[in-house]
Amino acid sequence: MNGTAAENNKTVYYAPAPPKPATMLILENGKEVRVVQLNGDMRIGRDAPGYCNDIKLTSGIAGRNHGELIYLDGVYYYRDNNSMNGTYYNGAKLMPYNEKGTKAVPLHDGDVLRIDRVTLDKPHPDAVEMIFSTAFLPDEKWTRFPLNGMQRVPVGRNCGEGISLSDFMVSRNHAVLQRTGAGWKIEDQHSQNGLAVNGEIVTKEYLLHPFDVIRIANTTLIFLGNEVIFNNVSSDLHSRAGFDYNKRSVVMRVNIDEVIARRPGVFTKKKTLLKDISLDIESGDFTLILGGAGAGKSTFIKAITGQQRSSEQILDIRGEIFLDGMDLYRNLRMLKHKIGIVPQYADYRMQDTVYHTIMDAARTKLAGEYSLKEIEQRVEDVIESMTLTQIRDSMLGVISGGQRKRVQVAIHAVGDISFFTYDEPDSGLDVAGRVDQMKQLIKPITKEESVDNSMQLRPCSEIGNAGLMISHYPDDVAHMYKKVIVLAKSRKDDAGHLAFYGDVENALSFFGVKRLSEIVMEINYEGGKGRGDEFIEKFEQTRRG
Amino acid sequence: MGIIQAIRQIPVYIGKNFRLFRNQKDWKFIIIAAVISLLVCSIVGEDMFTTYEATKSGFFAIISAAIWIGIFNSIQRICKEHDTITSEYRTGLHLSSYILSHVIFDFFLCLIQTIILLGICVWFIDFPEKGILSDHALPEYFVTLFLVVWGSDIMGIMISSVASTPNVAMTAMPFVLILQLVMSGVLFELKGAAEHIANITFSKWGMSALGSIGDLNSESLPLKMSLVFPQVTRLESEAAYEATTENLMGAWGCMMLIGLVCILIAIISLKIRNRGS
Repeated sequence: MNGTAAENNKTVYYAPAPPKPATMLILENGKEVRVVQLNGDMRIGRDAPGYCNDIKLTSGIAGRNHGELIYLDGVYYYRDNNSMNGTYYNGAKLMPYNEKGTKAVPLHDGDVLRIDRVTLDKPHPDAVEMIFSTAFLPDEKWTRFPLNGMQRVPVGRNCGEGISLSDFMVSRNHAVLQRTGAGWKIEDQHSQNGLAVNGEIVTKEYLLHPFDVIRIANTTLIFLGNEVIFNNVSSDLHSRAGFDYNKRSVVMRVNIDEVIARRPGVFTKKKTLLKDISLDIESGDFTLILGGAGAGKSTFIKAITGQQRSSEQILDIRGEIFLDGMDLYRNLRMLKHKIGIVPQYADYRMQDTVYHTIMDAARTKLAGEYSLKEIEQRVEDVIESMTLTQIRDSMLGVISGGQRKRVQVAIHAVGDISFFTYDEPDSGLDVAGRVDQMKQLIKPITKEESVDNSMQLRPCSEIGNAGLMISHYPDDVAHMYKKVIVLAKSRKDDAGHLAFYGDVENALSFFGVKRLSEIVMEINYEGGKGRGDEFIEKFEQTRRG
Repeated sequence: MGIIQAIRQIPVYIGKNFRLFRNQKDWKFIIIAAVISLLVCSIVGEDMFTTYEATKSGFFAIISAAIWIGIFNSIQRICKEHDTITSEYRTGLHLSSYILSHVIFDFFLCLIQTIILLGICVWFIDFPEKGILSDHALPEYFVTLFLVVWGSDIMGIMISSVASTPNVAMTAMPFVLILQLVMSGVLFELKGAAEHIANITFSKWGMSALGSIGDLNSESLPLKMSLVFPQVTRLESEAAYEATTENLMGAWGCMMLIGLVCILIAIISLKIRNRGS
């Protein structure tokens, strides 16, 4: 560490992160399903005079001071306050630990808390189930579909009978719930976008168990044994619905231990390119990736978008990456359709028109499920929103590189993309061109200030998208980035590490600079101040609090 | 999810192939087919069906032209789109649909090229009327030449799918052509391993089919030497050119089978190339 650095950073930087946008789905007998946004420490209990519970229950078997949620270092914990009937945590009853209550248990996506009186075999009619999730949107409308007395329940888009969903990526005849001797099973009916149960793709059929989570496009269905509840995500081909940033959810969860690269071949040398990168990317976030040469920016994008193989290298990714709550690499076949990649040097069919290129992409994704007229309307909407109207009939070979990038985004935007990545889309442009280019490119994900100053998004559906961008000109449109990821190469192991992840203002403060481009100068060893390891360590300490 | 979606994508890509064919001026392949046919037929046409040797050489030249026309249609088409295919594969493209769209589109292209090739052949060559399956030989010649052109086109698609760049594909093309010509059994007598390798070439089965329809074993096609020395006669007929229905149908069937294998290899090679991408 040089002298200046020591003077500027006398204390460990600490910027407390806001509580994660986690939710609790609450199921009470005879009541509507509720999704409550968690907001730090919260009390749970029966609604009664004199008790200020944040999550109010109506069940008679819930205590007035039943339990509480504790938010600590990015993790939610639950503790039962030694209530009379207690709480079951994923089926196991929490036992009293001290006079305050039980031990606090960490909550992860899908964890189920149950307030019940006797045993789980004979649930009390007033039992309460609470499901923790970072994937559900707060105040989302959930519907109960009772299965009592039914043998076969079709699931499809606006299918009239059975479970009718409004999401435009759901096929008309998507799946069927069928009662069998062993219980209920779900069958995929050769749907266009498939279905997954508990994060695993179902190729044909799956025997369901209570609390199995079914994903069909953007819709989540939870099988509860005698009923199915689902969040009917409403989206159509021409949706312009807004997105409330305060109700954002985690789109991608990255926990990379190591990314090792090797060249294709038998006896090729391995090299660790990235190490220890953990972060959550939330809906509505447009995130800048900064880093010096060789810090692993492009490798990071490849790793989180499922691009393990190329003609140049094969990446061995150790760790976990979840997209929309599902393991990316285990479900790559299904999830890759939700990722839009805008590469630095894309290859196009230069002798095809802009319109036909986008139209063919739309027909590839939507044909059979929608009429040609509906698809054409969708394409026209996207062409208009990406300001490609004037060049719609031009060949890709005669339009500018920047316009081609917009075509690339439009190709993805006609489908159901929840996550975009852009690799230096602004290279080779002047300042005005770069600013204009950025404004156009990020339309499917960015927020726009509306008249009442509320954050609005222009996504393909009600669910906000997220995007990552590598740029060497970050200050041109610094105000557009919601967050910044800084990757720095460590001299200790020659691999890229996370040196910062947070919002732009905090990034400037963390690195003690005034402009984003100066961050690269701070961390770069070649031609910069070479403080990469210092900031890697500092950020690690910050995270630990 | 799967088969139905894959079937739906085929017409989308056939439409794309047609637009690219028009916009890239690929109709030049039809003109090239006409020029090659004209060149070959003008040279071999006069002597066809006069002697055994002239007829066999003529068929060999026509088969060679058909193979060249077919391969040249498609040899660069897939490899120049590898990056685009990868990108589209990620957004939902079925690789089997992509390959089949090319195979189906090229069916029509090869149909036009075969009509031109046979039309020019008929212009220069006086074909015997009687065929094997019926009293008209021309439909049989047409089917044979079409299968050779289309099969070679599919072989081009396969090579293009395996090749990483157009340069690699074009480097491979002469080797494939030479292999096809050598393995036809016309230039050299094939023995041992070569005989087995020949079984996977369009040239061998194409020659076999044309030789059967043209009845190369017929005594009405004398050896050149017989014209000078009438006592010289062929001791035994060639089994490959037996003018029987079984022989003709067998040759057609083998060409279709080789084409099918080429399609499968093309799809598998694209799947391998795009795995993990």
